[in-house]
Amino acid sequence: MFTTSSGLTPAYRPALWGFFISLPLLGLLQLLQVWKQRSLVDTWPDREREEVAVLTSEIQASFSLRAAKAIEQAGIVSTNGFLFESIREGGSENVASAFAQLEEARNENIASLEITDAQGTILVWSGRGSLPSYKSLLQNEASDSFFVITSVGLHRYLTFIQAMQDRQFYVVVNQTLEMNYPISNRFISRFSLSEELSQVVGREVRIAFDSSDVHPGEGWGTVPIRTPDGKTLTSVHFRFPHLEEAVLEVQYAFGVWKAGLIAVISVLGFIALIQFPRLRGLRYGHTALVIVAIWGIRILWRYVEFPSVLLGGWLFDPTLFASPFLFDLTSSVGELTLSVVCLFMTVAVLARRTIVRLVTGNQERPSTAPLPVAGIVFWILVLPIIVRSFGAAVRGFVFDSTLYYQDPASLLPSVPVLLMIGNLFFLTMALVGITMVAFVQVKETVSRFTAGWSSRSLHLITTGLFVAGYLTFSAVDREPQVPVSVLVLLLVVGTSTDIIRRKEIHPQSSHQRALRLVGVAAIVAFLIAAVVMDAKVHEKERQRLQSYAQELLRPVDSWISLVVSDAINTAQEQLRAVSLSALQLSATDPAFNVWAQTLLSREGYNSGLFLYDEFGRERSSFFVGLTSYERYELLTRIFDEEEEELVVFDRTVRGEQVKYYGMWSTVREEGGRSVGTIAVGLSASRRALFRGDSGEFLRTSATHPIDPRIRKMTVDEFDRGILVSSTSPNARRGDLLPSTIAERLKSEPARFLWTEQVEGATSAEVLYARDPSAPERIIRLTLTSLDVRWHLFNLMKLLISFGLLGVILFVVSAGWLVMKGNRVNLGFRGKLAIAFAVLSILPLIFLAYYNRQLAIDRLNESIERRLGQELELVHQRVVSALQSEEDFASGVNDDFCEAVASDLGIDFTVYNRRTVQASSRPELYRASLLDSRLGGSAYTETVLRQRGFFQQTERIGEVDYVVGYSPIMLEGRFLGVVAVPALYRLHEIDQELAQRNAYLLGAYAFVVAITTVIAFVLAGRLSRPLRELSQAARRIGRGDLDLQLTPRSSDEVGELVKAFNEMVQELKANREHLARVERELAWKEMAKQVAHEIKNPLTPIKLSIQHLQQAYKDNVPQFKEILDRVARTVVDQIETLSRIATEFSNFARMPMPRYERISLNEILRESVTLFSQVEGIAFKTKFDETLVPIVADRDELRRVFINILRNSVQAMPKGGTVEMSTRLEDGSCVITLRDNGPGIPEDIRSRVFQPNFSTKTDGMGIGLAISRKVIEDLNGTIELWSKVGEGTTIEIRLPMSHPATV
Amino acid sequence: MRLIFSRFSDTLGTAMRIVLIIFCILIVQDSVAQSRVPQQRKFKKDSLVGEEVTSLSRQQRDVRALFGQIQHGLLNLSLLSSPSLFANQVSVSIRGGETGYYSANQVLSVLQEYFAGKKPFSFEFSRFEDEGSTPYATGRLTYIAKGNRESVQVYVSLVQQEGKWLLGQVNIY
Repeated sequence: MFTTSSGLTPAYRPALWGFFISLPLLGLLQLLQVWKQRSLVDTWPDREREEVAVLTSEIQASFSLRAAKAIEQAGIVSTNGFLFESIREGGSENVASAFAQLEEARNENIASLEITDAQGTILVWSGRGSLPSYKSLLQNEASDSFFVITSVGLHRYLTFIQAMQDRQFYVVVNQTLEMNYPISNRFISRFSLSEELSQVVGREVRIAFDSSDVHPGEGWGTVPIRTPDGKTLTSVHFRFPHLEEAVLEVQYAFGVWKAGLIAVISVLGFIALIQFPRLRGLRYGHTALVIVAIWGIRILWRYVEFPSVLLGGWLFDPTLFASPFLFDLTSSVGELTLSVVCLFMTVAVLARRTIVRLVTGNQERPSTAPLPVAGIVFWILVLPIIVRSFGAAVRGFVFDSTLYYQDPASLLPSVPVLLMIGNLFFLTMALVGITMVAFVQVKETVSRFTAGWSSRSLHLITTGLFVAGYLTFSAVDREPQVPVSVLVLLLVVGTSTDIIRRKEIHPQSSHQRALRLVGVAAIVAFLIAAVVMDAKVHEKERQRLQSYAQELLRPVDSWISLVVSDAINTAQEQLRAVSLSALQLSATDPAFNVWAQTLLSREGYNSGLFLYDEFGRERSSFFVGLTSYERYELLTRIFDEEEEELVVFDRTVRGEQVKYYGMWSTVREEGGRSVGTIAVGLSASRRALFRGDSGEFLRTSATHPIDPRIRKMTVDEFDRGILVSSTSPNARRGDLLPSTIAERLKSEPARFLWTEQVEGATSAEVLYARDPSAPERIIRLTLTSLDVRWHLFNLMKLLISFGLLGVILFVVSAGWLVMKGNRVNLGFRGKLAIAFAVLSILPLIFLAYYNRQLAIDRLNESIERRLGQELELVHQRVVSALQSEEDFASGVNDDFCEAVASDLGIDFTVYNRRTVQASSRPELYRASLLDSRLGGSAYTETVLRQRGFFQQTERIGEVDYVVGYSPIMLEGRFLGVVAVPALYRLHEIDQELAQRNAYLLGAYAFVVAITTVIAFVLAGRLSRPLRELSQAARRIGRGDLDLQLTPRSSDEVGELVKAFNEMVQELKANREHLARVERELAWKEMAKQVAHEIKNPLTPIKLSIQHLQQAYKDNVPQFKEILDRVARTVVDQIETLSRIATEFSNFARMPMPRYERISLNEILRESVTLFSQVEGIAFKTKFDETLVPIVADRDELRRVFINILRNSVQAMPKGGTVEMSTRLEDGSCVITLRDNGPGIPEDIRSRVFQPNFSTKTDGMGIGLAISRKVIEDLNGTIELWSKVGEGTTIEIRLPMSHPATV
Repeated sequence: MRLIFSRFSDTLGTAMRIVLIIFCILIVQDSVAQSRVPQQRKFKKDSLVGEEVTSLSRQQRDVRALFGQIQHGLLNLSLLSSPSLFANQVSVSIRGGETGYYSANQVLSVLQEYFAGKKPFSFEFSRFEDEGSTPYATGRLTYIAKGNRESVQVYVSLVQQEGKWLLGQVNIY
């Protein structure tokens, strides 16, 4: 950044102005908020009326929109005359065609579209079934079109009916208003217009569907809902706006603006503060200030909830990740990311000077810090603490998170996981950076005590000190947070840093050194991240397994007990005034309605609720996730116990231990008379929706402790050392607990015991857990160990994540460079390496995509085949049980289906032409989860066309699944349709993908990684000759013509190197010749000048002496006076001669320089100060404050700068500007001095550095010649560019690795 | 003068190291939070119910004291800043909200988010069990949200971890 003559940077003033302008804005915002709140309070009655008017119109508009859509949908159907013609003509194909046309016409937002005849009988339909007939509705309505609200089970529809074709047909359009399921998960999609409207208008809204929906009471208003023809359809109740709520809304709205403004103010203040000239002068103080400012802003942002108040969403969702760092700085993924960025910046600021020294390749210098031993102790003790903290932080990433870092079904990470891995990357890079700095600092300090020791010895001592420090820390650290391998990797970092630093590379190629350092840091960071992450994930798995064992050992879950007793209480409250015998079965069972109000449904347990009348007859029941056998055993055990006594028992079901809970109770009237009985049963198991599907809790978040796709787990229970139950097919009851384990369990008091088990090629981790209340009861959990494929796959996943982050960082930084007007220069090697890497990664991406498609296609084929077989099996069993049509009507009921399904392990449903007749899962239809009407397409294919097999994808909640249909025929007569669902598809695809990923992609990704490494090495080797040529060309430019490159091959590149060497030889010869000529010319010029200079004083001497001689001859009376005058003249001229001799002597022989460590910026500032009083000359400086001191003679350099500045100032008598800047470039300090004076004409430009050249009348013209000599003595260069009328630029390059600095 | 400045600069260098130490301590704070050991809670005579404490077993005393802390902590929301009261893994089920297993650290944020904008008005455990392997308690929590008074039922159960009773399950339904 350029600074003005007053030392200010261009960013300083705008930042300061912005800061001071924003502060009053913030105050203004606060005042505005107060005024708004007061105004709200004062005018609340009016505002309330306005708000009510607005929300009334919004509610009405919402209904009007729905009505308009329904009318539009009916209009679309009415224009299709061919559709009605098809229905009218009849016949299977015509009706099938009508079904297809209706399906095509239905908008996806419309729940169902139906066509009835004049009597209201449904002829053709599309979508979910609603009322079985519209007869009664049509009878009560005279108009051609009307709206009505219909109710089917838990579904409520806005129904629009319109007469068509002279009332021969009616079109019915149903739009869903409510799907009032008590729970919502991926199988059950709730929808509620009330909730949707509540969201829209921002307050609670309830729709009064029927007379049972009474007015909620005080504080509620009502909006009548009218149809387009003005009839009142229903009414909507809404909660009146509340003043406190309105005030909170105002506070929130202003809070968002204030947070944004405070964030801007903090950043502007930060820029102004760190650029403040006086503070910039403080070396360590400025660094401390920057760090304090960074964290000050971070904490301020957290306090005002910026940017979470603006963004929200998953980025700031604590359920994904939350950890309690100081001031809540890591309470979500987003907050963590901001904190990690701040931490990375802090480390960068702290380590900046050391990193610059590393990058520029300065060799270690003896430390001059006071208390050097304290410095060593500090680093070797603090580094292990930092490493431990790093491990604890990564532990938090895994333990305080619900993110699945090692999902086997996906090669690419999800966005939140990628962000967390990004945080891990920056955190690890910060750790590696600190380690590098620590090594450099300690080694430099050690060198203070070991003068003359070799660098290798110093390195060994440094490494030894760190190892000793780590061992000392380990003695007190009882819970190490990182594996020892991390320490080894960090030592590798230290060694690599030292090697890279000491490696001889061209001084101007410091970016190569920087790239190597970053490369090594990134590789080690990746390895550390992989090791620590893997260890933490494994640690968490162990912890989860222990929790799982604890759960298994728990005799009774108090929460589930509470759920059961709560269900009984709720059911009693609901049914207290009703005689159970009076209950009528309807589309939705009373049992389901009661179940839906209890915690059983809200918490999504596999459970059942059974209602009996006073005579013990079952009047209604609803169950989900319980087989007939489970229900039988549950009810038997429940009624074996006393009333309201909790029953708990265990069973092993499909390799899993399951606990069952149950209770029964009597329902009594007000007078105490028994009117019936309620029974509640619950299975605390994972249970499939359909048989054959993967088990899954209806509670969506309940998780298995370990991913079964990766690691298989078995559970065994021992009592007194004997196996009593097991989920393993290989275990037998009566097996004994291994004696060694029994001994260890006796001797070790801990609750858990971990062991390893190796059987052949497989190994497993085994956890033994004891029941504290019954020590003889032992649970054994055996978990197969991860094999190498999974480790490889996880490693590759992390590598891909790191690669993705690298690409993102590269694109962002390249964009930034382009925005600043710079070019992105990757270099030949970089381009080559990227090309290789892309070429090797592209096939992986294609393979992953192809692999997924292949898995899906293969599984679809397999599912279709299996579905066909299952359907055939069920069909045969159903048909074989039928002797006549009567058997079908009376024999095929739910119990029959349940029996067949249990036998075959296949759930199925039987339809009598268009609606469900019986099902092995009737509860799903009774609860309206599944549509009890046969879908239009299935009806067309199986009933009308009687195709032997038809399958289609259907949807339940958010899950797509395949259903196979087949007509049931008896002696050629059609009886009904049998349908078999296949919900296992998604799970099996995941399973298949996980396996393929591990076997195929893991291995391939490993090959890609190897290929990428080879690509980088190869790119380095290929571009090496070119880099050497480039470096050699630079050296030649600086005058080093003694170099010769060694051709490494005989190919085109080798030829190029040979030609280059020949060119250098010729250049050297030419240059020597030229130098000789120049020297001769210079000597001639010098001789001419010396002669000229000497001649000038000699003339007056000669004339004076001649004058004296003449006076003597003439015996002039004033001879004495003449003698005195002549003598003075001669002495003066001799002095002039002496001065000339001294000047030339000085040029030939400079005084011995006194080398010391000096700051270039400081000398330049001193030099500028000397000329600062010159009128009309403005000085602008832009000094790189990161420049490290160089070794040179202070006075010599000062003379150089003063000489150049004087020339510039003298060249601009009418005033002008002189710009001075310093910067670090390719290992050299570059000083640029630029004036906007008249410039130097081209013909004399090449002579300005020659001695005795001057365009001025005074001076010897050797100033710039001396300057060049001083610079060249420091191995530097001085170059001049000039353009007449525009100005002159002088650029001085001083290498930082001057021999004197070593 | 240069010497004085040099000394000043070195002193600042030492100050920088101190800043770094403080910074490291802050980082360590996180690691301490990760592997914290629950503090020994003192017995509160007036906790939960006014029963004679001498007749109670040690488990009952510990459990009741913890229930008392939870009851008090939910009412003044100090529970949301007490990670030491929670077990390693906590089952959380919030009606219409989050459900799942969370770490002790995470559950604080989950509960903080739930209670944001809710001001507890009254809360008392109406039913509790202080014996057995899973002591539990339930009660009704009434709070004020956006000017309206609402209430939920709260269920908590405890688990024993490293010899200490800690909150293992929080259900708000």
